[in-house]
Amino acid sequence: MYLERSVPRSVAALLAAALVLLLPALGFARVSGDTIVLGAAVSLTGKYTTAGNHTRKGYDLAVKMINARGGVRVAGKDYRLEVLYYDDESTPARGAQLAERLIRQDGVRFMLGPYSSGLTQAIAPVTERYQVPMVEGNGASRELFNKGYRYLFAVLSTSEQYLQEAINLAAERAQGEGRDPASLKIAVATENDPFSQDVRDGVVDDAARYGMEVVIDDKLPRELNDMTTTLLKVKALRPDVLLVSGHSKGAALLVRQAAELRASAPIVAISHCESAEVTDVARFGDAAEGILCTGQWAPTLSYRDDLFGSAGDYATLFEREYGYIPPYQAAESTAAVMVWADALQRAGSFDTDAVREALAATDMQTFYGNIRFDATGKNIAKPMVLSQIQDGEYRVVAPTAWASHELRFPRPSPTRSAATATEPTGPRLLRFGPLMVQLLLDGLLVGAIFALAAYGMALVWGVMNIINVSQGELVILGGFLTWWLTTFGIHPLFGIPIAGAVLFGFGWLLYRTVVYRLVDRDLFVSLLATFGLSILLQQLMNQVFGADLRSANAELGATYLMGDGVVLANSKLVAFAVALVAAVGLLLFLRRSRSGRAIRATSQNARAARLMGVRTDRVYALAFALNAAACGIAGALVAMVWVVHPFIGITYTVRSFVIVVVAGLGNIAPVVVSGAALGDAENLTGFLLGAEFQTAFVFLLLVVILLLRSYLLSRRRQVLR
Amino acid sequence: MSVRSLGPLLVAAAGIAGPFLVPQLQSQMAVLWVMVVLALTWDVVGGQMGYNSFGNIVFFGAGMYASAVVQRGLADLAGGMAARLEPLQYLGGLGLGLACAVLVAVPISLLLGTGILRLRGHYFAICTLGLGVAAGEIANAWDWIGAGAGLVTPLFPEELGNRNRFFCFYFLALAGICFGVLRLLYRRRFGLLINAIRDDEDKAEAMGLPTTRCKVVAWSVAAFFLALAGGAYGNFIGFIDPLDIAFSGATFGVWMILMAIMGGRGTLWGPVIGAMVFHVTQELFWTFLLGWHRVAMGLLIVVIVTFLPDGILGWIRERRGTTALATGRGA
Repeated sequence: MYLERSVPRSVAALLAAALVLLLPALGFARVSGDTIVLGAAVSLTGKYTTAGNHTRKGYDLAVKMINARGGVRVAGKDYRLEVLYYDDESTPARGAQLAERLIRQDGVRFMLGPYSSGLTQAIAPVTERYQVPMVEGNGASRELFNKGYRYLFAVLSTSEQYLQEAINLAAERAQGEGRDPASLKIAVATENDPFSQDVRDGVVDDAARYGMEVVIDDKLPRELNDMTTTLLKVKALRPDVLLVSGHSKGAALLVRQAAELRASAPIVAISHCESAEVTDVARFGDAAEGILCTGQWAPTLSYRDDLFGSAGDYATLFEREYGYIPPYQAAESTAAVMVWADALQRAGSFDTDAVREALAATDMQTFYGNIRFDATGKNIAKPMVLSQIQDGEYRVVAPTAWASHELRFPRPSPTRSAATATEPTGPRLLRFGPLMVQLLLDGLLVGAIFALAAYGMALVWGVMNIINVSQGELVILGGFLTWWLTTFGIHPLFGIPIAGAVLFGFGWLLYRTVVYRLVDRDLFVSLLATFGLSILLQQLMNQVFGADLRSANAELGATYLMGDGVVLANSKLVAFAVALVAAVGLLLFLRRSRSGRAIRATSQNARAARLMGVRTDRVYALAFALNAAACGIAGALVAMVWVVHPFIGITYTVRSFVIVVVAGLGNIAPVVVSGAALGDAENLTGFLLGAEFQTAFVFLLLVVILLLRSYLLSRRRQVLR
Repeated sequence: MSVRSLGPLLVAAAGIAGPFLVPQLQSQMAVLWVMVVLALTWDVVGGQMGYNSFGNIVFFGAGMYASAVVQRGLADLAGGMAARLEPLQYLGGLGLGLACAVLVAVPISLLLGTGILRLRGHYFAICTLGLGVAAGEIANAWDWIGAGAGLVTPLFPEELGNRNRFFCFYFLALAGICFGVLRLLYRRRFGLLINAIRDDEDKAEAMGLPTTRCKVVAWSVAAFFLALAGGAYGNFIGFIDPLDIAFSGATFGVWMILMAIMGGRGTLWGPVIGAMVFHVTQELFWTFLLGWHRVAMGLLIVVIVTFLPDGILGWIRERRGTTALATGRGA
C-alpha cells in the first residue's frame, strides 16, 4: 500500500519539525541580570478582554512607577521589574496551561494573577503544585480560600462580601423606620459563573441571618443579553432590595432595562458599575441615578502610600497615562505588584520559602487600602465600599467609616418608581394578566429581529446550499457600525440603512474572496469554513472596536399600556416595524425585480438557470450580499434594543438555525411566525423556569422539533409505500 | 518487521521518549494525545460513516462529570476535598470514576443514537449541535453538579511522581488503544458496513444490512473512548467548568472536526496527523502572535477547508496520483 508506507515518514517529519520549532521557546530564567520577571496570564481576547486590559494596565503602571523609583532592592542590589504576559483567551483550560508554561518553560518563580475568579481557580492548583507564590488582585471567589492553598495571596475582598453590605444597609434602614428586618423581601439576579455565584451565596447567607425572604433568585446565562423576564418578576413581586451581579454586561443591561420597564426597589445594588460606565449620559441618560455600586476601591477613598500618594493621586496618574479613570480592577492589580515589590525587598533573597514567608507577613497601607493576609491568603484588612450614584457621580455611602455622603433612601428614581406606586389590589391572577401580555408582546417584537437574520440565512441556504455560521457575527458587525456612527452624532435610526448598505458591500466582498469557493461543495465544508470566518470576524471586531459592550441609544422612550402593567420600549416597536419593512422589501425584491427572479430561478435549478443565460455567479454574490444586509439591519436593531459585544454573535446564529429549521426554506411568513414563537418561548421559559434554563430550552426544542420532523416524514414515506 | 506496523511504533516511541527528552512540554504532549483521541473518535462517525456530528463533546463532558462526581464522593468519604489522598485512594477513585464515565456515556450514546441517527445530512449535524449546547447549558444550570461554579477534582498525590507525566502516558496509552481498536474494526466487516452507509445508505438498507444497529454501535464506540478521555481530562486540568472545559463546543467540539478534516477524513492516519499538525500550529500561533492568534486560527480554518477539503493525506494522495483508496467525502 503506497499511501500507508508514506505515512510513517511524514509523521516522523512532522514530529521532528514540531520539536525544532518549539525548542527555542524553552529555557528562561526567573531573575536574569538585573531584572526580576513576574509571570501573568491575562485575558487579552475573549469575554474578559476589557477587564483583562484593566488588569494589565494596572500591572504596567505599578512596574513603571517602581522602576522609575530605582526598582526593587534585594540583598543590596537594585533590580528592575518586568512582567511576562500570555493571553489566556478568557478560558480556564488555557489559563492552567499557560501557568504551567510560565513556570516550566519560562522559569517564572513569581506569579501575578489573571482576571476573574474562574481563571484564578484554574491557575491556583498549578502554582500550588510547583510551589510558586502568586499574588492576585482579581480572583475573589471563596472557593479559592478553602482549599488550604499556601502560595496564593489575594489583595482584594472575597466575593461573598460584594453585596452583603447592601443587605446590612437595608436592615439598618428598616430598623431606623421601626420595621423588622425580617419583613424585607430580597431579589437576587446573578450571572451563572463562579464569581457571581459566590456573590449570590454571600447575599443569601446574610439574608437568612436576618430572616429575610428571598423572593427572586435568578441565575443569568453567561451569554446574557436581556434581563426583561427577571425585571418583570421584580415588578410583580415588589422586593425591598434588588441585587444584581453579572460583570459589566449585567450592570449595563440592568441600568438600561430597569429604567425602561420602570422596575425598581428602595435599594438597588449592583456590581461592576465602573467597568460598564453606567454614569455615561450619552449611553444611559440618568437611568443609573440612585443605584448603589459595590466596589473594591474608589478614587475618593482616603487611603495613601509613598509610591502613588492618595487614591485620588493614583486616579489622576492613571488617567494621564491611559486616558480614563481607573476602575477598581486596575487599582487592585497595581496593588498586587506593590505587594510583590514590598515582599521581595523584605525577603532579601529569591529563595521561594523566604519570599513566601515575607508575603505572608505583609502588613502595609497602599492607596488601594490596607493589606494584611490571613492564613488562607486573603486580605482581611480592607472592606468593600458601596457608592451611590448621586447626580451622576459616585459617592461613597457605606461602610460609614469611609462614607463621604449620606445615602438617599428610598432610591430616587428618574422615572415613576414602582416602589412608590401603591400595592395593586385584586386577585393574584389579575396581577399576572398584564405580565403575561407583556411577556408575549415583548417576545413577539424581539422575535421579528431574530426572523430578519433567519430570513437571510434561509436565502443563502436555499440558493447556494450554504449554511452560514458567521451569521451572528454579521449581525454584531452591523450593531457595532451603528454604534460607531452614533459617536459622530448620527442617530441610530439613520444608522440602520447605513449599516445595511455597508454590510451589503461587505457581504459581496466576502463572497468574492471566500464564499465563492464553497458553492457546489459539501454542505459540511461550508459549515466549517464559515465557522472559521466567524472566529476571524469576532477577533477582528475585538481589535477594531474593542471588547466593551456597546449600544446605540435611540432615546425613544417607552409606551405604557394598561396602567404601568405593560411597558413596551419604543425602540422595540421601531425594531419590529423596521424588521417587517425590511423583510417585505426583500420579499418584493425577490418576487418582482429581474435580479430577484434570477435568484429564485437559480435556487430552483442552477444549471437550467445558467443555460437560460443567468449569470449564476453574480446571483450568488447578490444573495450573499442581501443576506449580509439583512444581518446588518438586524444588528443595528440589536444595538438599539440591547447591547453588542464581539463574542455574543453565536446566539443569533443559533436562533437563526432554529427558526429556519422550523419554518423551512422558502416563504417569509413562516419565518416571521417562528421568529415570534421563538421569542415568546424564550421569554416564557425564562419567566417560569428561571433564566438559567432559557438557552437549554431553546436547544432542546430544536432537537425535539428535528426528531418530530423526521418521525412525521418517515410516516409519510410509509403511507406512500 | 512489516512496513505497516512501523508507523504506530515510531509514533509510540516518540510519544514515550518525548516526556523524558523535553520535560517542559509534558502538559502540551498530554493535550496532544487527547486531541488525537478526539479526532480519531470523531472520524468513526464523521469520516468513515459520513454522519457529521457536532455533538460528540457530549460524551466527553458526560464522562468528565461522571468521573469527577464519583471521585468527589469517594474523597468526601476519605476525609473531605481538602484532604490529601493516598496514592492508592487516588488511583482507585480515578479507576472507579473512569468506569462510571463509561457506564454513563455509552448508554447515553445508545439512547440518543437510536433517535438522532435516524436524521440525515445537515439535519443530523444541526441536531447534534443543539444537543451539545443543551448538554452544556443543563450542566451549567444543575446545582447538584456545581452549576456554573463548576467542580474541583481531587488533588494529585505527590507520591505518584510527576502529575503531567502520569497523564501524558495515560492519554498516550488511550490514544494507542483507540488507534489499535479502530484499526481492527475498520479492517473487519464493521468497517465495510459503515463505509457502505456513508456511500449510499438507502442501498445498504435495501441490501438488508443492519444499518441502524451499525450506526448506533459506531457512535457508542466513539462515546466509549471519549468518556475515558474526558474522565481523566477533568483530573488533568483540576477544575471543571461546564461550558469552557466539559462541554466546550466552541473549542474541543469544533477542533475535533477540524483536525479530522485537516488530516484527511475517512482515513485511519488522517485524524492522527491532523491532530498533531493542528495542535503544534496552534501552540506556535499562540506563542508568536499574541493577540492576533485567533485571527490567524480563523484564517487557517478557512484556508484548510477551502483549499484542502480532503486534508493532508488527500493532498499527498492527489500529488502522487493514487486514487485507489476510498476518499472520505461524505454526502
